[in-house]
Amino acid sequence: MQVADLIAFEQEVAAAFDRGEIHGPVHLSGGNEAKLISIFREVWPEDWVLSTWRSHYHALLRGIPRDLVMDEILAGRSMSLHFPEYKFLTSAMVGGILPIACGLAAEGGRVWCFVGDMCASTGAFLDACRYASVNGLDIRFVVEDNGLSTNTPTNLAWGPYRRNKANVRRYTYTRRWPHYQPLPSSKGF
Amino acid sequence: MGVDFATEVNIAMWLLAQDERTIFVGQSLRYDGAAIYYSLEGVPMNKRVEFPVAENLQLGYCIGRSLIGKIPVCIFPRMDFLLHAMDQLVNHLDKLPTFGWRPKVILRTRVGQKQPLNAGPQHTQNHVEAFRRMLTTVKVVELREASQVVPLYKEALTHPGSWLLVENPHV
Repeated sequence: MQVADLIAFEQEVAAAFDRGEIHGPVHLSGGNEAKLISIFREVWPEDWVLSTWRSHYHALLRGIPRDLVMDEILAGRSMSLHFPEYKFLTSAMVGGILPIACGLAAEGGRVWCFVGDMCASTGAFLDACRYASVNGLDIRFVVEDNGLSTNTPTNLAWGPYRRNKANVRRYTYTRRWPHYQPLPSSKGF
Repeated sequence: MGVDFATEVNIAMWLLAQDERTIFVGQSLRYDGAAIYYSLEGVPMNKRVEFPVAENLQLGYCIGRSLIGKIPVCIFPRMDFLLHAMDQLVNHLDKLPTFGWRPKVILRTRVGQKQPLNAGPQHTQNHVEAFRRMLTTVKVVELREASQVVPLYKEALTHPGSWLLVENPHV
């Protein structure tokens, strides 16, 4: 797949949507063709690819036949493209793929996880990155940063990122008592 | 919770552990001192994954592992805590089968008892009926009698699909 092929695909989808042939929401990609093509050169056939509700390009670059992808979109499933036989899984929920990626990688899978910039600002993203890093999980998180979450500017919504956690105070101590004392008669319940 | 019910749960966990595909995921599984730990007597340590408190991450992690052949027993010591994992439960575990995936997770939780100690309104909620209404593919079962425990955990293991088993014994 080349840049022109990807663009032509989305134009075809857009035209079908305009003709009223797709009875479901469609999320088109555009402007990131060359960067995605470059990234997908590193994706191996046995890898898992996890993406979002905007995943036409990822599916095509994964190597899923064009007609298969188009059929799913025409059937109204643009937002939820799933191809288990190609290890291609998406979620229409922000950050929904992140925990699943951790589980797949824990079973030995090599996982690519494509998310947007708002998702990358969530606690769910930090949780998943931390868990993956500490446990040596083979996950490549790719943040596709267009500065927007739907139509909301991510940086304006969150404010500028500050590393200085001046509003957090922490102290350390050693706990004297157990978490709680189970009743002997409860046999641990 | 009566002794018989607790013993049956312990037996059920041991039986699940005999299947080479099962793993047990949650908090206080590998560290003595919390109630859930004692319910896993006989479950080998190498089948236990001690997870940080990150409920949604925990359940999604279990979904991911189940897609490559494991059967995770995903444990939340109180039903109140499971509410943190609603996205993975309702939007993913329950819906992935409609997209052609075959996840299988055995969710285990319990309703905190109010006797002899009452843990208060954030540790004793029972949302079984709400979950039954929300979930379309995950089977929801409330365990009320000790005699139900082993048969239903066995069924959860052998039947296809994911199950949510809620331990809530008569006291």
